[in-house]
Amino acid sequence: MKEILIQLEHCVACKSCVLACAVEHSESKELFSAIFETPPPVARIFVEAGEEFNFPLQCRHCEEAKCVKACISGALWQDKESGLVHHEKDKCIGCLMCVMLCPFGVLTQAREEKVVLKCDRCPDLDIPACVASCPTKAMSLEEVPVHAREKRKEYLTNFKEQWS
Amino acid sequence: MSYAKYAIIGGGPAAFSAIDTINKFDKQEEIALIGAENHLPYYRPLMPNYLAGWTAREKLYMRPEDFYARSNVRFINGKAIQVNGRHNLLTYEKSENDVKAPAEEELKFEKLLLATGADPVQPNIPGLENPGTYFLRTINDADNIGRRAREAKRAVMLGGGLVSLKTAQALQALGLEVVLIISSNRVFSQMLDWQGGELLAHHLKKEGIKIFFQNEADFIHSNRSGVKKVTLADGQELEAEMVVVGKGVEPAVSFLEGSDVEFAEGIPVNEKLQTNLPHVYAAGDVTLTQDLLFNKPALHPFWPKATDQGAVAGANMAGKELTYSGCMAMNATEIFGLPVIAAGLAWAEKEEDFPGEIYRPLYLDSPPSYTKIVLKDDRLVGYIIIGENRKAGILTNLIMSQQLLSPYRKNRLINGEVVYL
Repeated sequence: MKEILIQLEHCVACKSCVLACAVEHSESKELFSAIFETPPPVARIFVEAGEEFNFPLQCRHCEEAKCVKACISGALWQDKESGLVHHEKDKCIGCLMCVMLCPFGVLTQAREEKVVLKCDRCPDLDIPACVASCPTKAMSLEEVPVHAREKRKEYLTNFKEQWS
Repeated sequence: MSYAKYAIIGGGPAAFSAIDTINKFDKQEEIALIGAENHLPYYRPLMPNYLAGWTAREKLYMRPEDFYARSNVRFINGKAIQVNGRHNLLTYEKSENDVKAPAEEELKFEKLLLATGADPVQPNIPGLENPGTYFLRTINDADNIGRRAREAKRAVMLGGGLVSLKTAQALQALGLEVVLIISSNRVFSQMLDWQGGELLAHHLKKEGIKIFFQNEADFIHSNRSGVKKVTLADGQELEAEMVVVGKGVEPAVSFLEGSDVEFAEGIPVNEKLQTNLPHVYAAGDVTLTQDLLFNKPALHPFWPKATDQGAVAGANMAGKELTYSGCMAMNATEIFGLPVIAAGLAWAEKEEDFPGEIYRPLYLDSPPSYTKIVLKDDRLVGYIIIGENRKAGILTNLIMSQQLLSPYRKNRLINGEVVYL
């Protein structure tokens, strides 16, 4: 099982990942033509610039994902093997139940198309676009052993401690 | 008489969530799933989209046909008519046979889940029994409405909740003129306050939906071809060829009449989702469960609660102890392109009526945008977001966890900004 791990102290909130994500999810997958597409390509990763530190945030592909439980049309489902939460655009009706329940606020809406959008871990790429684009190597895609879940949760725990 | 270790009545999200969980812990045993409709279980909230033609019929079903055999589920198309909990017996009327002579059959179970959901509230309006009047709850309802809509020019919708609004949108997309009759003073009155309701009503009117507030249908006039006219409480008469009722739902408990399972307006359950009988469980719209904000049992007919409860009930049925702590009112939708999300004490109007703080950091007519934040003792207890809403889930989570807000975070929140820490 592979996870995107983040080193908070390396993030300088440059938003390279946001740009790379939007381009990867555009029709042309080229920055210069993507800019002129309608509807404009939408990123599924967000950068939060805080007072003390910054961090990139995209779908955590949660176990027991709240978005999957909230989905009223069967568009969201979790692959038991990979652990990834998948979204089928042609089943989505944009009802926003998942947006209402995602505790990380990482589902976004394509208002024109009336669907939600989320991180798909870039199925066409070996390394997701956000990870590949990061100039400070704040993000990395790493194999995380299933039996050592602590490591998987390191980022989240770190995140949670900063929260409270 | 047949036997299954697990029996589930109802084919909605609570039932399937329970099936998945039982399969996880006790894969070998058979699950009998009793569904009253003559279709394999489907996503009920998609009905307005299906009516409008936006969602194809084959996309409605909750699971593919081969799921049932794979998951050791025996689907029985039948209507539960009697539960004898103490003797582990359930009687149902088989519907796939001859309609005129339905056969009663018995099922013996070890664990039973009542997940019958909710039925539409039936208002007492003379003429409601005539052809051309509908509820929108089932695939058959949607098909019937769709057929009538092909001939009809005008529709009257009763009720101003989520189903009514989505149905109004669907009927308009089918080319009908739609009038909404709402007994309260605003749309979506279960969730929105006055300002939110105004914004949404204005948006609906701009899209061509007519709305009459604080009014009721007093009489539905029909001739041989069905509905012709509706007389309202204030004496106005509206010509229409069809009437669709969406006045909310109530737990489907009538089949428990005369049984040994206790029920009131819904089925009361404990933390393990057991009814008064420990081997009979209930989950979903049919349950009366703890409201976390009001600290008393309440009905919360909405999807995520049903999936959560189904998983907890299923685990307990399969011998793995789990508890369900409760939920609160919340809902989300999109109407004519306008996103609306509200949760908790969202409708609280004035601080005089409510011992807390109410902030409205954003209110814009165009594009319609509204943010409302309701706090109590420096904790979030409710919010409304109309318009840009990506971080709404963070707010929902703040209410559920009743986390104390730091002064910095609170300050940002009452200025309409959601920060993570």
